[in-house]
Amino acid sequence: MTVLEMMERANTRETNLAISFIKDAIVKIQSTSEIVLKVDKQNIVKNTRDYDIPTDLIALDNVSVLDTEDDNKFKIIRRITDDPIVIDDTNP
Amino acid sequence: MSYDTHKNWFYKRHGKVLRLYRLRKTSHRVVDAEGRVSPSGTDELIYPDENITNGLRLEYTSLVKPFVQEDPEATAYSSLTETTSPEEKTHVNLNRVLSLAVVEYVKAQFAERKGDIKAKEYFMNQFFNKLADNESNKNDVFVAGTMRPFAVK
Repeated sequence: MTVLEMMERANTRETNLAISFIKDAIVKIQSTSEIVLKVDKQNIVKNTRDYDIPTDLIALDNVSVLDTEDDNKFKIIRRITDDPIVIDDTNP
Repeated sequence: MSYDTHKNWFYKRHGKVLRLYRLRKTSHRVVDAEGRVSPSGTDELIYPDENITNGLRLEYTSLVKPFVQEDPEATAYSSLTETTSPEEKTHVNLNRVLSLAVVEYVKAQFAERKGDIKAKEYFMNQFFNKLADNESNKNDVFVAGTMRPFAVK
């Protein structure tokens, strides 16, 4: 469907505003359901705990880590629900 | 050499970063300096203890090609060309049901601008209904059964 058709259905002539609302709607849709998934890969560095989350992320679907002992398969890892007791390890 | 990563690795989201931990299992009984034996081994979460090139993989939703030049319902997804500055003739890269949902969302936002909160709530309700329709379309399988008088025996 084109932007124009959406504007006609919504009974508006404000193109720029309609496009902004369309973008908002797509973000809202992407935050609740997966239309298109994107993949980001990063190096895991020894003794480094924090890794950047992609700036364009709307909702995280899954996180996986490479299993080098099992034919280099990425295996989905679980999320910790509670905070670990150690908040920062200065000598990991 | 990472192994059983689905069992030994964990993550937690912390603001704009992802915290990665590995579970270190200690099964043997540890004797302390005074000769006391702990009842069991202790498992602890440690920072990643090895380098793995491209070892972390995140799968996430994002604004991917929201506006395209071609009709997304008549063109293969990989052939779609993204438009960074959309205009009226630009296609919204969604299927028909989701496009109709977006129309409801736009109606809701314009209703809110006019101060008509009831209309806004109505259109947002329609928006979420259409999202639900789209989700259920992925799963529903229609099975038709012939009524008895017309069944072939």
